[in-house]
Amino acid sequence: MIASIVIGHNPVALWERFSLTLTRHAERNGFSAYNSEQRRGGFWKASFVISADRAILAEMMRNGLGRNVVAYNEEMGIDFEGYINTMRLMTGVAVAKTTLDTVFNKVWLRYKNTGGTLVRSVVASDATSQARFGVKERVLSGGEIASSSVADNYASRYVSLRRNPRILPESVRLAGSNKENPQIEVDVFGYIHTLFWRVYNQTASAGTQGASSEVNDILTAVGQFVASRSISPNSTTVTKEYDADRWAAQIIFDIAELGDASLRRWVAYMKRQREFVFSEAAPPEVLV
Amino acid sequence: MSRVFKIIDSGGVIAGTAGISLIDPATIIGTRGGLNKPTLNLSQIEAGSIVEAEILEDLSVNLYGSSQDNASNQIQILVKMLRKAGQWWKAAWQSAPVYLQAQHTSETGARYALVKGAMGLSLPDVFDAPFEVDARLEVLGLSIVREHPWRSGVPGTLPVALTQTATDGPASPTLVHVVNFRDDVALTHLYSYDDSSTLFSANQISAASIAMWSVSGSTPAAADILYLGSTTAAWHHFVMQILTAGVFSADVIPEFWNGSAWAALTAGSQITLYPTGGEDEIFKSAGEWVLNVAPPSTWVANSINNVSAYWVRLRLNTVSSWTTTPVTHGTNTPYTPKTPHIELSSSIIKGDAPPRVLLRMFSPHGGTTTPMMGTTSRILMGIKSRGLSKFVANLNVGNAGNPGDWATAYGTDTAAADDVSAPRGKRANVTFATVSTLTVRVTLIGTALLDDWEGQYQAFAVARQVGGAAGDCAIRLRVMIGSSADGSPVFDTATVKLKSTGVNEWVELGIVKLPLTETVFSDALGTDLVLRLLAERSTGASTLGLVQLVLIPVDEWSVILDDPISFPTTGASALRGNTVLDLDGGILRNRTLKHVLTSGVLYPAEAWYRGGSPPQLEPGRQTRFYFLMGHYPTTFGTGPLLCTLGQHLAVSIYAHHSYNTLRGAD
Repeated sequence: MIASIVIGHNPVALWERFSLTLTRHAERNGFSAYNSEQRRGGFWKASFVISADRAILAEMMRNGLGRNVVAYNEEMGIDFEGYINTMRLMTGVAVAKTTLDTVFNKVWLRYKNTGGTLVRSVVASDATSQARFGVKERVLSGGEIASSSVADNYASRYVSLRRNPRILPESVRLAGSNKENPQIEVDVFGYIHTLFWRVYNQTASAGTQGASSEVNDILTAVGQFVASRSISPNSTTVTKEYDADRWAAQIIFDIAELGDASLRRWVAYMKRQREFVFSEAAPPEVLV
Repeated sequence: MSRVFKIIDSGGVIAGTAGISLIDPATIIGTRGGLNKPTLNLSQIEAGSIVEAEILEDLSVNLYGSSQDNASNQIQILVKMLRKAGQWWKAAWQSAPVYLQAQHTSETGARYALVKGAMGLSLPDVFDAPFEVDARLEVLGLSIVREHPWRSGVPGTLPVALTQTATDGPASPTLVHVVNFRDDVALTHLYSYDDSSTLFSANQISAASIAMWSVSGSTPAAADILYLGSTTAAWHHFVMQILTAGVFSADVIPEFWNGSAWAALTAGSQITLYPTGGEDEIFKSAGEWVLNVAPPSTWVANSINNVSAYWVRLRLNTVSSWTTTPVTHGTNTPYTPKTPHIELSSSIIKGDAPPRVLLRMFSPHGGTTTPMMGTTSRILMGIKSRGLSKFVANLNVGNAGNPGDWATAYGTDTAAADDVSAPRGKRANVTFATVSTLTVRVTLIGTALLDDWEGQYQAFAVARQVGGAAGDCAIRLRVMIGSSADGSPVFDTATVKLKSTGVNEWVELGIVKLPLTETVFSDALGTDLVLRLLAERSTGASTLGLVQLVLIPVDEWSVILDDPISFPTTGASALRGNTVLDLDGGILRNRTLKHVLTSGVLYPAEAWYRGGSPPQLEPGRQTRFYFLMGHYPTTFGTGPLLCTLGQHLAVSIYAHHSYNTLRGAD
């Protein structure tokens, strides 16, 4: 049973300081309808409903995206850890939604020029958004574009439009009535998702290396939300070169699927306190 | 005693501090059978958490007004009261609650309950006779939602601190000093040294009315010294209860012997003081003073006054003025805290349901803007109310200072080694000289102790990797029931890598259930309990120091209190001098709050994270709260947490006892 849910500030961006402990059926600041899910990658998704003072709910809708969430059980254990990805304010009549799904602050286009060569536009970034939420990338497919300036402008406009989250109405119930106590439904994503925020390209160093070294290199380059690593040695040879605008998480999962020289399966996941683990799937002594 | 049943708003803003009586024949009085007759359902009787339950008081009253305007005014006040009650639960700005107070004619104690609001209010026909003629509202229906169960104190008001069971200090304390380990080392010697006469006092370790730095009535002066030592082993805490506060101005330097010279102890990382102030302020107020020390690894025993001991001394470097020499209590002698728990006896928690509890934790002075012993950032707590005769949460791996029922045996490449940062100055040292793979390094056998250890625990090791890269060494806990022989029932935790080198870090090993399944009271549990630490080194040439095995009980109640790291640069949210942490289960408000302490007044500062429920303990049971404290190593917010001997909290506990129905003489 979940005993409390603690919402804190974004532990990487640190643009603010925030602390809110939610307890079951509390005087105020309570939570309900909690559930969580773990998948490949560890903590995957959790959701719950916040019941709190209107002022707190309003502030959460304005500033809550990206905040750190930890759900504790009754036995000092952490059931889930992640960041707030989506919130829905439920007033009884309307539902307003805000989400990080549509936030991007580092964008470029892949397109073919008139000669048929695949090229990239310049990278359009928004430092303010990155400082607040962390770097969140998107690669757009531009088809065939004659002028590089057209592609560059498109990337720039795209960032301008999507560097900040918006609060948008999601639904309105015409027969509804205002709740005395509005609530927020919160979707929390595990920090493994932040490796789906980042593309990993590396062409400066050619050749191959062991799987664990490659995973380390990827995390060093784009693991902004990885606080610590537990990387077990795996010498399976993989390439060091990547230039296909693939998500870092996808590359790491593919490397894990290669296993090791002893034909063991390997896993990559994020555990509590944003620790990234790359290791064999089960302790060797229990393998049969 | 006249009976009482009234609704009151804290502060008396709406209806004065006396509130509104619901049984006053002149104003409002219940109809026959119309007051306080709730029905409890099963979940209300079994309510485990005090913040969960609520109950409906379906009241029926008659309201008498001196005029229709007067009756209207009474109704308006009542409604305002109910609105305020609801605001306390829903609006952050409403900081004062509304509560019910009830007591019967011959009932000794009053009981109280927070009002959550009103489900409904029904009036009779106000155009009919009683109101039109007599300004009387008959059979006024009032459905009040209140918290359940009743409590013994006024909501939002702190009662007196509970009397705890003494651990290391004097009997019947209301504030107990909690440390980060358990051993059996007590200070053995306390000398004052008069430099002008080159005389030592007698050993005053068991004395009362000790005049600090004074020898045979001498007035302390520069170069006089107070020596504190133990011939047993390295020690970390010492308490002196001051009766006569010192009045002096002096430069006091705390020092330890490093093998070749006296070296100053650094405030915050090597010494902290409770209740407040730097070393120069020591003993300048009446009450308990706690000296917490964590000298570096160079601390060794040396001979003072022909006594070889681990000494710490307080040297008067310079003295500007000396008016009054501090003198200790006339009865209470100095003592050495060495217990990581507080205890309530079975007679302390009254009532028939779990009480609302507030733990108030005072932090010693000394911490700075760098993480260290004096800047605690995490506190774990778990309670246990059974098997307390022999249970200890902290077992020393260095084969020293454990209770006599525990035996220690070392496995491959492992031996005891001196370590002043370990309980009783000993740790287990794993060299990996012959075997670096995962194998048994330490076996702790508790003879016929499973009975006292029955329960569920969060297991931690305090361990230190020496050399190599962080994570080269890893450890695992193995639990065996009945015997250490192969084939005995066994459970292994995960193998957990260490995350740092050169420091005593927490290694969280996971949940352990003893025995390996649930039991009933009639099961025989008087068999041996075997706890084994296995260790491996995956690469490199590091060694491993194993210091403590800590089992924090989690099956009755447990919690993690965490520094929110609101300002990593200075660690401003960590505990340090003049800060107090409240874990409040609803006496004042359900919250976990760090206060700033200034001139004896607590000022709310910021919330700490609370991973877990409010404190839950059963009435009428002897109960202990076990603690484990941690601080960050070099950067606030960047682990692993370190567990340093010398960390200290002074803990008081408050309770509102709970009653399902009547309170009586409780």
